[in-house]
Amino acid sequence: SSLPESIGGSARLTPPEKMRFSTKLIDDHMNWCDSTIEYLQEHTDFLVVGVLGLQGAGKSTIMSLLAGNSFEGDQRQYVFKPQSHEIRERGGYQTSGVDFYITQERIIFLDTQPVLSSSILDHIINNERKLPQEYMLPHIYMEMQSLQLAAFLLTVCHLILIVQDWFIDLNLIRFLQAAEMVKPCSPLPNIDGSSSAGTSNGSEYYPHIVFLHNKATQEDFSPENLQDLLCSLDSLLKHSNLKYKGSVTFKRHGIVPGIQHGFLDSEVNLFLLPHMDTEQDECSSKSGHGNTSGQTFSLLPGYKGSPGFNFLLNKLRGLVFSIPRTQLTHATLTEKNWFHYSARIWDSVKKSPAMAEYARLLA
Amino acid sequence: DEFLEQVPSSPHSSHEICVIGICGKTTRRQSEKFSLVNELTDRQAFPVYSGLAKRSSKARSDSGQPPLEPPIAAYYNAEDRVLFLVLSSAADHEYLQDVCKELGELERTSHAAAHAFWRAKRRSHCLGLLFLFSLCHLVLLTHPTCTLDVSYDHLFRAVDLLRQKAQPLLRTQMEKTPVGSEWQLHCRPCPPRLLFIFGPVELGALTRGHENLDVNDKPRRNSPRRRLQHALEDQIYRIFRKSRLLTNQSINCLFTVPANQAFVYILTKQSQDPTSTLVAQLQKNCTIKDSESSTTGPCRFRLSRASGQPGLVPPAPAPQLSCSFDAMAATSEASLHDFVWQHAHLVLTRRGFEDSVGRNPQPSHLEVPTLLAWATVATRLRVAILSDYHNQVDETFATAAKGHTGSADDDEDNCEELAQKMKDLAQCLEGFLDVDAKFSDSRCQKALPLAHAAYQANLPHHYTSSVHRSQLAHAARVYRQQARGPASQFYLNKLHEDCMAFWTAGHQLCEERSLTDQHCMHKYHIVPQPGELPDPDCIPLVLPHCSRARTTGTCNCGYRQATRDDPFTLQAANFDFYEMLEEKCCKNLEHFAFPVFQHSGDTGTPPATSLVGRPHNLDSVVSERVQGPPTQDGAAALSLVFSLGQATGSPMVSLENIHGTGGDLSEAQGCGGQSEVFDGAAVVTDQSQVTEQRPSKIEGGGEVENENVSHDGAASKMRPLQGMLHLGCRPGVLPTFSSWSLIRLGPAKTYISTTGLVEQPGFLQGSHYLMPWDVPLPGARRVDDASLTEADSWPVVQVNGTERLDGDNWRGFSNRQWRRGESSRAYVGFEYEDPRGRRFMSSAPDKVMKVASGSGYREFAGRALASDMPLYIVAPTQGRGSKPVHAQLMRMFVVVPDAPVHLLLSPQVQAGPPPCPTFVPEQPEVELPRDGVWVLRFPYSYGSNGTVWPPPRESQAFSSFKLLRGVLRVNSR
Repeated sequence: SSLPESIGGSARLTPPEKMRFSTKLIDDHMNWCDSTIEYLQEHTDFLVVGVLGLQGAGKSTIMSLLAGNSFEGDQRQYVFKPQSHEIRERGGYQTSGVDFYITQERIIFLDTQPVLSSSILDHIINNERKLPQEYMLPHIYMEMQSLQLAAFLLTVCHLILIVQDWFIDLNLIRFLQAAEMVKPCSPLPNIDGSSSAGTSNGSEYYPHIVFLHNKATQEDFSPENLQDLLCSLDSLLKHSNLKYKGSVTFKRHGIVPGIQHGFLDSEVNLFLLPHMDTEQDECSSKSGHGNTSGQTFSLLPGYKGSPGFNFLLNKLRGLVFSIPRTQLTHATLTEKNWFHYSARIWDSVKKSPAMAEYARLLA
Repeated sequence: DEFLEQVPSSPHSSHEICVIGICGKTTRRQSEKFSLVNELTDRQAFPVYSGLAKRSSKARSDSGQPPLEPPIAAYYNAEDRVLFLVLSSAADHEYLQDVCKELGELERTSHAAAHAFWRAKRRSHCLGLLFLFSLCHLVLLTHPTCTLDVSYDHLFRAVDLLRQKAQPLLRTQMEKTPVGSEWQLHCRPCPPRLLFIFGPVELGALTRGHENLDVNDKPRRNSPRRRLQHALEDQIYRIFRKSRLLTNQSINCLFTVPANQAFVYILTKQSQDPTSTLVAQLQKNCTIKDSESSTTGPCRFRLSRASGQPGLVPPAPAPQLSCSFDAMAATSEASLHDFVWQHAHLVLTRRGFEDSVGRNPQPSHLEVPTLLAWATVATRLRVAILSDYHNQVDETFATAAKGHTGSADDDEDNCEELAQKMKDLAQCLEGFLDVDAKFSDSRCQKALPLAHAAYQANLPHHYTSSVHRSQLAHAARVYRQQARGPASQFYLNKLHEDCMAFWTAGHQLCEERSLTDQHCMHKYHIVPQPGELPDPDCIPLVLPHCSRARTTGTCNCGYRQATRDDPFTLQAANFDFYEMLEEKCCKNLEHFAFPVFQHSGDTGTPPATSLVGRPHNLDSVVSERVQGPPTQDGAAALSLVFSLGQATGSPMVSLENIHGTGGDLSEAQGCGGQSEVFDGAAVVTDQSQVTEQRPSKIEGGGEVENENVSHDGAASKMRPLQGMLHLGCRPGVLPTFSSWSLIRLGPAKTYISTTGLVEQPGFLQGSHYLMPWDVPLPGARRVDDASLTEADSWPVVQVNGTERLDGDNWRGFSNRQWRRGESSRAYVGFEYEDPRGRRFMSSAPDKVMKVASGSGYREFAGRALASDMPLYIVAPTQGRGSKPVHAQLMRMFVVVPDAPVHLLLSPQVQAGPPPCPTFVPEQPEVELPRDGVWVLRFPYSYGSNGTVWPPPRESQAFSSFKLLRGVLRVNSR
């Protein structure tokens, strides 16, 4: 995808610079950062992947792994900084605002701060002077901040990963539906001729939604439990306009061997990733422990109940990268256009009267 | 539920108890709350794995539908004098699955309904929480991860609000209970303490990261877990404090947290499931005495910890307490039991929770009830708070309440009243809980006017339903862009209703389309009944339809033209207009009367049926022809061949007959005179036989109508046919009017071939000539070779040659020993008429006749007669715009010579693509009497059984509109 479009510009022949770490797209005061544009080009073939999830669910880690980091590697080299131990001990949050990273394959990753996070709320309470006037309670400000981020992602991403580290959190589902409601309207195709041309593409833009269950245990991989999970998600989201079906599923690709064809009748986008730790245990036990026992049984891999973290991660990466890249707007955007478009959307999200109304109702 | 009933008979009923409620979210790992109780009591109070399945199956089998009340399970531990109440909600994964299945089974598909369903679940959860907070000393809140779920803040505020509102109500319930006055006043034994139990942190990650650190950093006193616990306690306190859930005076709060005791506990267990446990055991059994290393190593299956004897293989499979939190025992930190017990101890020793802070803390009350007293209160509160959700079992609880309190005479009335009040309160709660619905509602309300404006933009004053639909679709699109959430469907329906109302309130255009497919110009109106006068003042208007389109039409005989309104009924199109002109023009000419339905019974029997019994000399060839080929096209094509062949083929057989009928005819003509209308049925006996057999042949080919015909055939003859007669009609039915007309203009000699038609207005220059057609006379010598193909035999040979001069052809015929005297010359013409009354003849399909003046037309009619003539062709005339004008086949002229020829006229019109039937006149075949200029006027519009077959809009579609060949042929007798 990074092939030059024409021979003319010699600048285009040089491969784009590889980013080492993410940069801020939206800073911790929820302001847009313009510096990111230097990493962007005039290509039109790009994919935007966003992430939403509760605190500590593993968003940054997963985004780093998708962006090309290997999980055996040093966590300090991850493009998105995972939670440090100190922060974990404090029950705090790592990522604030929105972090941006673009791979050389022109896939844009947007890592976000946790939604509905208690530690962010705590942070806001401690710095109450910064609380905007219009919000009566820090709680509401926190919730609105989360909603703004979610609404922003729903508008500018092709695909959004919903990372959860335990099973379906009803609040997160409700939050998602609320975000769908406050999402800014996609701009009309053309204002003057909307009545004539509106029929073909006048519909709202909705991104693909993939539920990613992190830290899954082995019983989660059993076909019955998967089936239950899919059914629950399906009935929870039945009325949503989000594209939560059919693009990233276990069903189509035979990823989990125990699942027969046709067993999972619902095609909800659900993907499970087991604990990273189990894999690491596996590695360490093989290297450090396997020799001492010397038994045939310990040479065999232990029963894990799932195809393994690395395998699943690679599959997920493949599925995520291959989702159909529907147009975000009626016009084709280049990377730079996307950046400006996103900046405009973020602005409108922050000033949205619908948001204000929602906040008013919350109070 | 059963628990409360068992209490009075329990030996422990006089125990003074501490009540601990458990609520919160749990994950898939089943029944975590239950296993929490198991852990706290150190026994299997609840079945860990089977409980849920049993519960759901029981609920299903009992009432058919799962109970809506929040399931609360109770367990009393007599040793510790602690009562556990476990509240399940949709936040528990297992319960969630049940609820989702329930929702799936209900199959309520609308978004709003599903939203309401979840709202009801939340409301019942709130009430369940209120129940817990009103009856417990301690409430444990579980959460599967190590973060505070901030949604609890909102939820607890809702419960707090509900409690404050419900307190006066609950107080009335508390009046006669055997508990202290403080309890009665505040409706709870004490301000309950809320303790948090956070789900297993991945201590592995935490500790592993810190193993090195801890070694280097010995002075740090607290373990990471302890630090996290403190951090969370601080967070929780600040957050709840900020939202005023926690205030200085604990007596006013929904719950309290201790100021100087731990209230957060973090579980550390690694999750274990049966499969991995068993696999680990298997592995262990197989490794030889290697258990020392395996237990100390990083292997996470530390199974034998419970037995306390590392290295020994446990004799039995893993105990069901596999979810026990045994890992804690090893560490120096407090166990869950200790954690909870330090609080429970305060209750049992009646020391109370002094959780108020600030300068003047009010003392908070604490009452430790006996089990019996508690059960009494619980029963009453249960009725009050939860009865809303089990109306179907109200009766049993009412009686239960009676049994326990003794003074329950007025309870039943109270209950109803109370339940109603609680219901109202809970309704208030919904507004607070369900921000989404409110938001969706207001957003959709705002979108509605926009959609209305979009609908009304660019609307004409009156418009048709298709305009209405497209505007509505546009409006709905505008609406959808703005409207979100569960209320959107409701307002979308409203939009539809509103727009519909707007349209029907005086903006409706008459939907009726004329037979030429143009819509009526009036706004919605009612067509006057026959005899009623149009009334433009009436509402709705009483007016005939009008499309404002006017065309020029020509009368039956072609001598007179007049403008006509676009017809809306077949009668207006095919009968009324011509009847009106008849009066002025052609009524004195000789008419052939097509049979029509007549109301008086006897005369109504069509002539065709009356002929059945009559002896007739039906030619065998005719019947063969009729029954032969199945398709109409083929039949028509073949019949032409047959008739032509027959004309020359069997002179000996047919001679007599022809002479016979011919004689009759001339007699009839002789006495009847020119102006007399003669009865066609008498003339064409065998032709009516043909019509009789033709439909039956079609039905025999598999028509379902067959039965109908047989048993209500008689009745149907009494009813007129709606629409026009076609080949699919049952035999014998007739319409009330004829759509066709056949008129004799005069004797054959009035047509002079060199001048063409005269006195006929509207003809284009040079196109008013009829085509000559030589008809062999009976007795003429036929071509011997019977195997001659159609192209070779006369007169079909004419089909080949448009280039050839007719003279050449003629000479060709003379080569075949035809002599001129043996045939007689007839003339045929197909006349087309355009909407402006301009007329022209067509000499062949799609060929407009053009003859230089004075010369006459000499090309023979064979080609036209042997092919399907199009019903519509593009006229050579110019319309008003650039669009080509379509002309319609309106008349057919036949000049029958004064010679013993028998010409059969049997027009069959295909007026549309396939489902369209083939239309025929009310008498499908007419034998034209000799010596006359006959003009057959075709219908203006075609329609059957309420279906109108409008003219084609595009000339590409012309091919399916045609007059089938065989319209005129020589009678074979």
